[in-house]
Amino acid sequence: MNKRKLLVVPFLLLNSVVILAALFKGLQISLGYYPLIGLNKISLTNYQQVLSDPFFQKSLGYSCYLALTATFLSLLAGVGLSFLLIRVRKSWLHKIISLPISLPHIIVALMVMQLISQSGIISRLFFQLGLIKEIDHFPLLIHDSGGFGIIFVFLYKEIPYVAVTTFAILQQLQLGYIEVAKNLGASTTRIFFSVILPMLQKTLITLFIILFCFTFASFEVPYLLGNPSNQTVALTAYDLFTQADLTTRPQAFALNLVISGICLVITFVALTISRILPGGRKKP
Amino acid sequence: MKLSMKRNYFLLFLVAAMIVFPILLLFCWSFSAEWMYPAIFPQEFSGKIYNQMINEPNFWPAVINSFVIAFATTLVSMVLALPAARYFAFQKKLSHRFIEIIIYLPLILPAIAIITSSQVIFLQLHLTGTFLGIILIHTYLCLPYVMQILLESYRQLGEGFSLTARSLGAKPWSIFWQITWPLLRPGILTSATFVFIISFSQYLPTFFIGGGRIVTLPLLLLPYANNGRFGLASSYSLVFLGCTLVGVFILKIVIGGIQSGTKR
Repeated sequence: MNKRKLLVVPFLLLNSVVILAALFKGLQISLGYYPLIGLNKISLTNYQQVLSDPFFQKSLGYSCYLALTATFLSLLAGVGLSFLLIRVRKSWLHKIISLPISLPHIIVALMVMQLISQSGIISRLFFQLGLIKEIDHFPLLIHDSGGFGIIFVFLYKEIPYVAVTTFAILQQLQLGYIEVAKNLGASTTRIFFSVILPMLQKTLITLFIILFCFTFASFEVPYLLGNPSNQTVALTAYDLFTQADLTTRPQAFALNLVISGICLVITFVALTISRILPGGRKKP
Repeated sequence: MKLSMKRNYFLLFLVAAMIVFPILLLFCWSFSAEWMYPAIFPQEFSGKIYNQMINEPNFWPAVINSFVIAFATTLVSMVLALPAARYFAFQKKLSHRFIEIIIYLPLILPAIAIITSSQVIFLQLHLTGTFLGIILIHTYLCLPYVMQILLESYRQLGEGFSLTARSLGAKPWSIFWQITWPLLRPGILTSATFVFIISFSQYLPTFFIGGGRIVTLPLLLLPYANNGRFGLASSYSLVFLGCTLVGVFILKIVIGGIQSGTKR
């Protein structure tokens, strides 16, 4: 038995060394201990700065908005799509639907630029159809302040991910329950909330956590499609870390820990909600 | 009933079309010599852009580096994850949720925070700018996906076969090669494919830990996409996708081809 436990050690070692070392180093420097540039006084000023500076506040808020919007929309549309996948079992269509999962975000961002930017194919189509007279009449959908382009990329990537994952779960579950409920005269909404949701909610909560944390701190997509005046946290951190000026580093590390903390809190809250929801306490 | 079936089929077909259409745009852009604004199709097709791309001094190093890093990451991830997933799948003390959190932690903690922080540590250990450093950080980022897939495969496989073999006197190593590996092959292949693709698409960790000394395809692709050079960016994207297909094919041969024990 002991020998078996040793098998987990290499995995845990890599994971915990990377996480703990990174967090410890980050904590050390963000608290003001950074001998390299002559700082060795422990204080919380960096955290105060990060949390009270309107610039940081704005980027935190904007990232939260993007992550929540993209995640909720992906979950909604993805679950819908998974029911479509259950009904239409054509394996070539299923393969196409799961294609975006393996496309990297950079390429999807590029495709979205070619699709919906002002000089993109849809704008060209509108021009040819006479719907717009000039290139400027096409609405600004990328680099816009609402982050439409960014959300679009995440939806393209994440709806299929949610759909394929949910589809796999739906296949394993006894769908007979749905038939039983139908026979007993339950309405569609009743079936969804009392039968399907309790069976699915654990998976959906896990998906929510993964998607939220990913979109919240994703870098490539807002870098390519973001609006210059609305930065996301990842861009802010990137800017701070690529600067040659080392005096901003403590702040950068404080930001790192703040965003890590936000992701952990969201995870904790989501898991708590999952426990309260029907189906939460039952062992899988 | 028949009608609703047709409607569903049509809807799913529509979704598939929406997924494929933007990919076709990449092809159009990469072969376009001239594609000015209101034109819907490129005015002129040519392979000029591919020529320009292949002649860039960084092109071949990037392709080779990407392959080396992705294959190494796949190997390291599998070696770390196979035994760990086995333990997690058959232990009875920890709850599923708890294991899930341990496995998913690298997905929960923001990648940018971990990468930038570990850059400082890697600098001290002289791991920045080395393949080893990049492979380690890629492995860290890929492990959640491997663990998730392998854990599920092990759970479905159950412990019965290996327990039977052990009670018949088989050594652990031969149990692994003759029973676990062949039966687990689909899961191993799926997870290896995942790692390969994810490692291949990483930008941030390669950028920060590579320190500009090691270029991979995403590092070349991002600036072109950012500067609006759609032609070059598209041809890089397609080469990128082609390379991942080649990599997945190689993995299929290597993992599916080692015939030890029973054939499936």
